[in-house]
Amino acid sequence: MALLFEAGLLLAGLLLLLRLTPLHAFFRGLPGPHAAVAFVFLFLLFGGQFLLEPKLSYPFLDWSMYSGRDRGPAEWCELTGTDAEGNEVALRPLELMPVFKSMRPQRRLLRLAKRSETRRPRKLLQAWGRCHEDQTGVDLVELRAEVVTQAGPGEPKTRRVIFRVDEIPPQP
Amino acid sequence: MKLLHADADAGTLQLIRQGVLALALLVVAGMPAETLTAMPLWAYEPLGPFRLLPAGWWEVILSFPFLVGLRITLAALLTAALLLRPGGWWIAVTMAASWLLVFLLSLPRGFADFSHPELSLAILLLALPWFALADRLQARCGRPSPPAHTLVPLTLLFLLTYVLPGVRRVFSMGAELFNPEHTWAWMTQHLHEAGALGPFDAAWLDASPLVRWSLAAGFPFITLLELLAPLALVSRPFRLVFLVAMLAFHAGSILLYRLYFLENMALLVLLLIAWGQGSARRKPQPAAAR
Repeated sequence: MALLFEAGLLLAGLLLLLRLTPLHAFFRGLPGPHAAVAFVFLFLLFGGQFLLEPKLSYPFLDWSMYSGRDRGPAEWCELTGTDAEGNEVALRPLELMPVFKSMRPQRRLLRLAKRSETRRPRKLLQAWGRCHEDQTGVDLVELRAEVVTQAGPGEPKTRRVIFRVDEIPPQP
Repeated sequence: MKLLHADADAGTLQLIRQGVLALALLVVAGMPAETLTAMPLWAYEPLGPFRLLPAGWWEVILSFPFLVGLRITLAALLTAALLLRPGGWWIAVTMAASWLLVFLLSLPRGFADFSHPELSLAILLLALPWFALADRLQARCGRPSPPAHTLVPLTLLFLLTYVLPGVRRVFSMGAELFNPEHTWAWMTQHLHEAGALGPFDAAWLDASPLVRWSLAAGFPFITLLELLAPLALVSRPFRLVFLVAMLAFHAGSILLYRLYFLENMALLVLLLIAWGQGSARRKPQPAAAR
């Protein structure tokens, strides 16, 4: 319902914008083929925002950056390792694998940790550990996450999750 | 009020097309997609139309030779599009390149979360050949289109990628938007996740009340600019404020939590500056794509 209201207001704002004299005149004079292309891309942009799941609508995702849709206690996830001297160091997926740039692959780990899929986070950690071992000499990777198990009214409950790579049985 | 790009000449259209293609080429060059082979295949989740590909294909796609080949093919297509004159071949090559870029960008996202950097660029690259095709259709009918018929809708599409998060934020946060505590909590969490870049860590944020307050005040200001983004098409003073503020905002998000909207920064400059405005009035220009 809120999404419908948001979409309606956005559409109204866009129509109001198109009433501005220079834009109005421009779009009235836009030939059919160009208008069709513009309409299709606008539709896809709006469709991605309001209609579909991001995994279905890609590359037209919902643009909800910095919005507090996931308000509540913060969930976080960090990867740590120990260097040759036994010091604990924080490992950033961005540094482990630059291909991820700003993509925050730890969110995927967080989702897996939340669902307690213990085997999978450990295997994913092992993959990251493999990427990292030659670069830094850090020989162990551990995932620590704090996930919300109960949100909403009252005191939210959180759960701390720790996965250690060295607990993974060797591959046959 | 004068519409941005209304009098743009063919040179401006060509500059913006080349700029978008060059940015895409830089993205491909700087993206070591082949390192994804270290990730376990089961952790991959295909996105969008690529979900329709048979499950068995992903083992091949996410292999080292395929990923290297994909990057080389894409780089070759983008280089060809940069060198070709706009025409039928340009449209075909750019269309293929745009879909391959969307595909390449989907690969790391399939292992991570739905991240937006580079997607504005991908959407503009997807749209460009279709507008060029529309130019050709119009030219065939003996009604050549001015470059504005491509550039104004393209700029509007780009600006809408700022409006959408602004509107979503107002609806989901409401008055919380003005609550500095929320902004600080959010920033601290992101700093923690991304890791500090140089001295800009959570301790720095905690120790600088001036920085904290200016960031908290800047958040609603940026949201207001995002909501009004399409006005950049018609108002020169607003366009200038929007351009400067958004460049500062993107630079800040790199420094504070390594959110790299570098392509957006380049697109802001490319699309919001009236490069060839006025020359078309002196000399009538045909469309670049015939």
